[in-house]
Amino acid sequence: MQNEINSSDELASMYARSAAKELTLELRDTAVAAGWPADVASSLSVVLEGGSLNIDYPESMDQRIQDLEYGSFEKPPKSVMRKFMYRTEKVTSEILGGEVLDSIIMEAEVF
Amino acid sequence: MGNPFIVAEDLALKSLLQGMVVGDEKTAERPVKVWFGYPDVELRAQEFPFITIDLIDVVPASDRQTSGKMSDPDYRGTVAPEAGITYVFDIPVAYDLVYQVTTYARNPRHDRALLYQMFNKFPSKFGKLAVPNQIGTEIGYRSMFVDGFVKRDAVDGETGNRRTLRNVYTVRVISEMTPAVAAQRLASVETIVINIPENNTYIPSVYEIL
Repeated sequence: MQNEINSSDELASMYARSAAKELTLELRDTAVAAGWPADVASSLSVVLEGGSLNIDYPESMDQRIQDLEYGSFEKPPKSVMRKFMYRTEKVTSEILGGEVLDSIIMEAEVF
Repeated sequence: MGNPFIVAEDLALKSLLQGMVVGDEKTAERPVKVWFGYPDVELRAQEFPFITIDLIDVVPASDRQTSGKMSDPDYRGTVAPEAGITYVFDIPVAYDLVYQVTTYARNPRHDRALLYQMFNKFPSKFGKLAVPNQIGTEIGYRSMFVDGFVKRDAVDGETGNRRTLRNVYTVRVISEMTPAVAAQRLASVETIVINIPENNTYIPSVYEIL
């Protein structure tokens, strides 16, 4: 059953939720590639909160994730989340700017 | 000959951080050393306080990239300018360099002194970094932005029951890489474009331009 879309905000949210799922997989792949342990990498996810995409993880993982991201007293940083956020900003603007605009024009027949 | 892209920014950042001192009740002026990466105890002494620099990302800055040619009458400061002569080279490739700068201290007073000095060296989004060009003739000032700051203090266990106070700054340096072709031209002057004289009456057709 398809949800009825009543506004451009709802349309943008729908695409953002879809993008969050794809970005979660990409984030986990990036973490594994950077050398993060598999269990830590799989605990990361990208979520839509208050109209923006953020990285989320369980509180129990906080110490390990922060140590990996910023380094610890023995190991250098293996930055994943900051790298990801620098790139995600461009990806999301493409998704929200391009696909949403296309849908508004083509499906909603705005013009 | 100076340093190429990235190496030049690395060294410029290290230079910016050099010369910091902290004081306490025992020693009035304690110098703060700066390292690339965390000092390995087997290679060098870990004398607190100290600062580390880690390059954590190089991001192509597509949003501010332009293309085409740049013209410059003194060939980036390598020759004396002459009337009617302009040197032409490719516009550099834009990149953002993302660094993690971390301060380490044992003493809270050192930590606070480091915080104060660091926020003066990295004033939010108004920072600038003096980077000499590769041939050492000019200095470019790169904008710097503090994109993040976190406090990562450890008190027990991890540091062998010794308190370590740590501040982590994420600093983005706006930069650019001169394309290889421009670097080659720079090594030996090969191309000189002489400006078209004012009395030139030849006008190329649209087909020639395209």
